Amino acid sequence: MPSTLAATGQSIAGRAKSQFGEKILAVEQSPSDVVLKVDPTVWRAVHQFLKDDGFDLLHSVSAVDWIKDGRCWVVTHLFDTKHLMRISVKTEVPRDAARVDSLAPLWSAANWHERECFDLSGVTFDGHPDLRRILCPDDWVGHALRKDYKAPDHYHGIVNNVNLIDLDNRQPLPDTV
Amino acid sequence: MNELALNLPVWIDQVNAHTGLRISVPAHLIPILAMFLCASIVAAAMGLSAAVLVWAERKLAGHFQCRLGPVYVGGKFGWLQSIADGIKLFLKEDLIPSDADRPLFRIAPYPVVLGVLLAFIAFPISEKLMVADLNVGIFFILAVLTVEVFGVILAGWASNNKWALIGAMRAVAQMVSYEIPMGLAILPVIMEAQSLSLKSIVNAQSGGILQWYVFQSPVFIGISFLIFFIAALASLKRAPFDLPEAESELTAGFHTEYSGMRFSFFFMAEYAGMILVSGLAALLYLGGWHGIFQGQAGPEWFLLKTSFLVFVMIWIRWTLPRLRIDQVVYLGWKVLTPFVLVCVVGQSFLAYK
Amino acid sequence: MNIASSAARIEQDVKTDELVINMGPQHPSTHGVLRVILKVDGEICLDAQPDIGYLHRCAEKIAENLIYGMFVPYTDRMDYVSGMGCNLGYCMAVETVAGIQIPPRAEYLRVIVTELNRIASHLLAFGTYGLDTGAITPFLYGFRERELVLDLLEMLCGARLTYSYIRIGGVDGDVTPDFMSKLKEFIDLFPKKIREYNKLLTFNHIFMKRTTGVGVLPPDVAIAYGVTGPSLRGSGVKRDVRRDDPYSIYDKLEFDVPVGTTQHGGPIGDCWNRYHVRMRELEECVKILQQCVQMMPPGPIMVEKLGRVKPAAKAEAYTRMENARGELAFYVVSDGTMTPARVKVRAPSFSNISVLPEIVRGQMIADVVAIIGSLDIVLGEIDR
Repeated sequence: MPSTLAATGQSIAGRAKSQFGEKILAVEQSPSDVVLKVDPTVWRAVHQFLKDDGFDLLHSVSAVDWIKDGRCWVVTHLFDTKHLMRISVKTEVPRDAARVDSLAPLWSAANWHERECFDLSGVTFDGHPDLRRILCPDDWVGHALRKDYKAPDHYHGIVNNVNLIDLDNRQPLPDTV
Repeated sequence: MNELALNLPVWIDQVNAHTGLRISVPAHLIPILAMFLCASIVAAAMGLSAAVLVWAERKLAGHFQCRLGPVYVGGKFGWLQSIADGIKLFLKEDLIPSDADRPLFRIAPYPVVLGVLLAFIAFPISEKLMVADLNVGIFFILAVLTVEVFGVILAGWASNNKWALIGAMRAVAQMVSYEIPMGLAILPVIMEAQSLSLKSIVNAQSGGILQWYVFQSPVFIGISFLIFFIAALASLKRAPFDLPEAESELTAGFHTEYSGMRFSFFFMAEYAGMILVSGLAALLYLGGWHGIFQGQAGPEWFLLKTSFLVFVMIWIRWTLPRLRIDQVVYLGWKVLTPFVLVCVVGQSFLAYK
Repeated sequence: MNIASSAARIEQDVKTDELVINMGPQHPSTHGVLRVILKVDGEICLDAQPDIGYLHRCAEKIAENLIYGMFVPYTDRMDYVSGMGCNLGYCMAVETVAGIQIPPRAEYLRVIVTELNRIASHLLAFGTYGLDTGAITPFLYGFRERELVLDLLEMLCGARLTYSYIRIGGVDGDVTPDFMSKLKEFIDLFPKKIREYNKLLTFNHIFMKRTTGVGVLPPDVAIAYGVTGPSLRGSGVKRDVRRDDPYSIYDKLEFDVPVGTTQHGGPIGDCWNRYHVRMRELEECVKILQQCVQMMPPGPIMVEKLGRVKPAAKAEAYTRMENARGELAFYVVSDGTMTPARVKVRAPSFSNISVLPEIVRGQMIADVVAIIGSLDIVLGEIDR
């Protein structure tokens, strides 16, 4: 069901649009929150603006890989614990050069979330104090959640049996059962 | 043991007469033979009682936790469980970690067991049943119990394991800081009995329940009884003071790397120590082998009192959480020692006749 | 190696300052395969860095290859202790993306099983926290009641731990009259047991000495690190998704949100407070169950003729729900096909454990165990 706080971000979105002007590319409404689409260059500035306004809980930082468009979304979700407001900020970066500014100086929560994003989706965060892999081992090659990721056949002698299944040439799924 | 040494030639002659064998033991070897016999009886008794105590603890633990405990091995009550565990420990592979200090690793269990085993020498079960009637009985026991500390620190160091080392250091801090309250807590009793010999201490408590030292001087000796009990629990590294072997933190602490028979030495020393310390408390404070009414005496009373105190130890272990090491050391130095000093001074005024 | 040469080596190797110990992935008290690299100076901890990823199965990648309904069993395995909650979060996210409206009876059933699962999860947290501090008996007492809860859930859906009962569009099967009567029995029996637990562990002097004033988490630090759930409420911040951003039927239910206090003589935000918030939440769960049992309407339990879910392209939803450990959020992005483009799971324990280095400085090794136990983490959802 849609969230009851879905539209609470509208007022701050309006103020952000007047502050940053052209750099806020769009203000959309999803069933859960207001989504601010921004230019990657103002990534940290917009978040600083939101944090100063009261969004003190960084809920998550995630990345969505669109291989057909050649782009990658980086999405953050924020929550204001005092005024009970939610908002989401999204930016689009090219897949092969996925870099955004790190939010670690603003929220300590960003530290681990951005490490996970780097580890699994390959997005580099400039200014992150300790950007290394968190879930995969330190000597892992590749970023697992990328759409063109192929898992290695061996890892320190352990054989990967999943590669024996041909994931790309499967039967298409029927629409209804 | 002296009586045994005296009686041995007589018994050997009787055996020769009845069976026709011609065993002859040279006279100067009789004491040594008597020593060996006594030592083996004590060791066997210690081992067997440890086995029984392990079964009792597991059954009691089960009942405290709304479950049954061992019920399969040996019929409905699972009494063969500890024998089965003993056989298993005996048959385990003898592992020594590759970087461990081999000689020290091997030596480490022995001081621990030695401490408890030696203490049983001066330990009387009844008027006549003891190995040696030392006239410095209680002093000897407390002195010899401190040998355990060597074993613990050797075990922790020789394991080449950081967790074992931390466990050993904690154990040493704990055991050493509780030796003082334990030693001081027996002073009021010694002052009353005017003797260090355990036999005379118990004989001074004859004549019914009100003559037991706990009831003779309820305030000072009563408090020292409690302090002795708590200090003994800490000295044995038993819960709530089982930080050195805290399972949930240190994965078995100083004896992490020990398996099989070596581990069973530590295990046996702990359970035999429980019996030793409960027995000591019964001898010193609760009247030893004297019964409730005047004239009743016998080893069965002693065993009853010892088992009750062992039951209390098991009860405390399965009820209370664990104290942190700084709280343990704080309790030993800043709480128990002042109280026991007050008891000693107070009792000395009362004993002034 | 004789004693002389080993003594010579000891002179070279021994450092008397800090010791780096590994509280390794296999350890009796880290709640799962968590590795904590502790830097200690004697008994005082200088730093504790958690090292996660031992249980990483990349469930989010698996989701991209499965149709929406097929991913439900995978959500169970993330936070395996409160599986119903994870199921609920994912199903709510997919229903929001696809615009599915589920029948009211299904909503009530979902809340009943989620609250039952919250009770089971908090009982496990209670029992294992007792084990961590050395009291072995409360574990058995807590599990005695947890068995009753698991029997109820098994009666309902056949599984005790990983349920997959909450499906997209409703729930799997309706309750039997047997279930409702046993549930009422449980609701009547349980408050007495909570009092028993409080007598046994919560107000035990030794336990209070172990946990009072240990691992104090100030509220602003907690919010900066993204801590949510009982760990945040233990620091005095009264935030609960069921109250602030109500989903399902929680806006119709009356219950309190417990927060940390100083009644025990210690600061707000210490381990005892986090633990006590969970114990008080047990009572609130019972209240919610009572109301649900009375208010549940008859009707269907699953949307008619749902078939396979195929949402619109580029539709996205980020649903938050209050799981036993904190705020569990699912971010589902659809690309117009029957498999999602991205399923991101925001696990509460992930942010909760990241605060460990902050609150462990200056505490002793035994306290590290107490602090990890009070944060109540489950590695399945940290690593996914």
